[in-house]
Amino acid sequence: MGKIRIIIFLLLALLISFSIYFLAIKFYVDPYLENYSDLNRAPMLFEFYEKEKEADKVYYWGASSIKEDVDANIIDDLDDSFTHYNLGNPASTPLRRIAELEAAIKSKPKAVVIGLGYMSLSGHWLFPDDQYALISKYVDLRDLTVYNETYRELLGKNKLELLIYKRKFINPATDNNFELLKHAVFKAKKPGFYKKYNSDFKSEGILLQFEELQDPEFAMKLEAKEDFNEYSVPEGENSEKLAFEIIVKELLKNKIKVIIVKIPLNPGLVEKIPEEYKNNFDVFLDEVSEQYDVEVIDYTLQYNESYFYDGHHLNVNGKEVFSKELGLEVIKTLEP
Amino acid sequence: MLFNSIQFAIFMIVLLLVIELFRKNRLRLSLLVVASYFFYYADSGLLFVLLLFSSVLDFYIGRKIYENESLRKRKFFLILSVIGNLGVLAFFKYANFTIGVANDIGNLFGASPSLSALNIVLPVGISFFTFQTMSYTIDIYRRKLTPSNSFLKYALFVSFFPQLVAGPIVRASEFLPQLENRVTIVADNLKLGLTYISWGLVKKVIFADNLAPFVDSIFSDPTGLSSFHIILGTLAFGIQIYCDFSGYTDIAIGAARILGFRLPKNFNKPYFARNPSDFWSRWHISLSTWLRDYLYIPLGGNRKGKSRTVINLMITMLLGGLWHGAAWNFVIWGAYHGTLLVIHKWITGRFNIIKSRVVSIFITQYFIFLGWLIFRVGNFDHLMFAIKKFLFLDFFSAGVSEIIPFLLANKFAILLMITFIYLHVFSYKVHNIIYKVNSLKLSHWTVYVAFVLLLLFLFTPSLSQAFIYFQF
Repeated sequence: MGKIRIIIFLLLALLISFSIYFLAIKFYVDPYLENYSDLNRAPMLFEFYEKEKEADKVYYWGASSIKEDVDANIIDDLDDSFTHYNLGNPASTPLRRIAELEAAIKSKPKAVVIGLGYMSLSGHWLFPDDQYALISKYVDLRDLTVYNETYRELLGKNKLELLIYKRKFINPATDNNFELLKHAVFKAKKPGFYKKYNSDFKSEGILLQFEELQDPEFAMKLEAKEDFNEYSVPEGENSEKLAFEIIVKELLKNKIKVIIVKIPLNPGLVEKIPEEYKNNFDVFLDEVSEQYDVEVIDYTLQYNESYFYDGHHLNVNGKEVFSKELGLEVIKTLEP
Repeated sequence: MLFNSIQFAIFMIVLLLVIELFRKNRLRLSLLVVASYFFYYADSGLLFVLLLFSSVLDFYIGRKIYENESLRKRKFFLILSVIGNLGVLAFFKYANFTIGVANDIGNLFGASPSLSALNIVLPVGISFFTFQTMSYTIDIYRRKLTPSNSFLKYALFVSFFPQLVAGPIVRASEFLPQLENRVTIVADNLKLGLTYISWGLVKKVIFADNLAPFVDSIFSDPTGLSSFHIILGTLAFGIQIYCDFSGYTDIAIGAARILGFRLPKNFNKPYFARNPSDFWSRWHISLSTWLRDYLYIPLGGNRKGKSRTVINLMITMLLGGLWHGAAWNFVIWGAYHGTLLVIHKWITGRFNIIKSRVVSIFITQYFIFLGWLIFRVGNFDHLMFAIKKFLFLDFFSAGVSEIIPFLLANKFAILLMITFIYLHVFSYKVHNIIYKVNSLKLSHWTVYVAFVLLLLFLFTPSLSQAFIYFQF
């Protein structure tokens, strides 16, 4: 038994194990990510930018509040001149959006409507880091000097590193399959099939799967809530504010119109958020509006509590009303 | 450079290739010294100078002790070595702890001294290589060892990278004679070394690293948790620390074996110990035998009467606890184990109540795991709460409606714990399991390695945890 023979067999073991791993990711994890995880929305957006060649289109950017609140089909019905796309992505903030800025600009939209809430600029809104890894193949790090080392590492993953990274999803994929099995055998509640929700970037959000108009636990959770750090917009600069300014500047530089929307928030929640945070948010957007000559439309306290599912998301009734009102405002702004 | 990193794999591959290129043994030895210093430098930067200092100091002092016939001079040089080694260790490891204690004492008497802590970085593995070099001079003093005639060989003994940062603590008498043989990489050692490494990686990466978040979630703030949570968390930590440390040791033994060196066994199924004394003959064997040979026996051991035996045991275990870290919980842990040993000594011969092996194992492990609670929980209030819950069981305070979701939410950790217990029992029944795996036909061994690699691909957590014993 020579050393060389052992090394050859070791390499063979490596090859066998890696092949099995590859198959496990391909046939076990990827289907979960594509169908059952809303993390997949991040790469889907890049695929959308690459595919979408239509001339006159308007993008609606923002977090889940945009994804759930805006029905692009309703807006399309109001206007023949443009096609409207809901590109909301759960928990995304300006800093996260910078990664897709170049791809979005290349797809040449007429305008980008950016929905912002206090949490978008606080720097404490937890965006799932996994999304950075999942979009790594679409992103060129040279253009992204705003990111810190952690994000650069995630965004800088090559194909092999991403394949290895995806082992993280074996557990959630297993949990999901377990839920599917429970559903099949015991008729338990089926896990959310995310692929169905707004994959055409038009309307259908995941909240539609809930039968209630309001989260039955929302009032209780709001009552108990004491920490509002995720809404703490600072007075001075932070990376989210910087990222937001970069986005506005770059879009305008490429002759893409920018409309800023202060997203609707549940008045019950807004009341509890410290005035200082709200004031810092308003002051910053006023400054940006003035400096770049960009319109800001304020929907923060536009709707009463009956229109909301929870603190940040409208229910089906709210969504319909908001989509119409926002659509009309956007169309008016875009009129030559 | 962690053993479970790609960097270490590359380091080993490059090292083996370069060794194969060199024909002269002296060059191979030199290369191992350089590689070991590089390995240390990768983790500790310029603090590798301490390693060099310790090596130079003890190499020359060792010779002086050996050359001198006068007992007084020999003693003088030995004291010089002990002061040099323990001085460095005391400064880097215990200075801030001592300052903290001085401040606390001062505050107690209303003096409020507020001495500020020193900005010291603890050099990785300092406790290990200090004990290793001290044993060298002490053994020469005792005329049990002749000093090395080659600084190169001695430097390799101190710095040999597989055991440098977390043991096992190797005695010069075990290691130096091996340097008389030519450094060669042979097929049998390569296969056995790889088997050891694979076994160690499974323990460290699959078990220890995946259990770490579960343990952290319980002990970051245990207040409010039930006995069920505390006992499960303690069990998980016991498994984590064993897999972490013994996994590291297996990788160290494997890496050394590939290079043709044999390192001593450091663990022998400690969770099958039948009494506290048996536990210390199975857990971190190289440290417990070091403490026995260089502290407990010189203090008088059990030769100077019952009360001195008790005192000697307590001193040994207190210092053993303090060796683990400059914190009160390690001191208490040491004292606790000292007390267990004293009680066990007192009971032995007087009572012979427990005849069943299973019962004695269970009772011993209950107390060993209580010790792990002391070891793990640094916050005193948290510790008191957790001990209360460990001792005075209140399983029913957490209802089924709370326990079932908790178990489901942590099902992977629970599955790992069950698997570990099964494997631990299995390896207890099947002796020398690593050698049995190693003796498989090459094709079967390949399947085993492929299976281990697949497990590593699938279950390596995204956040790698440093080896727990690195901090010591």
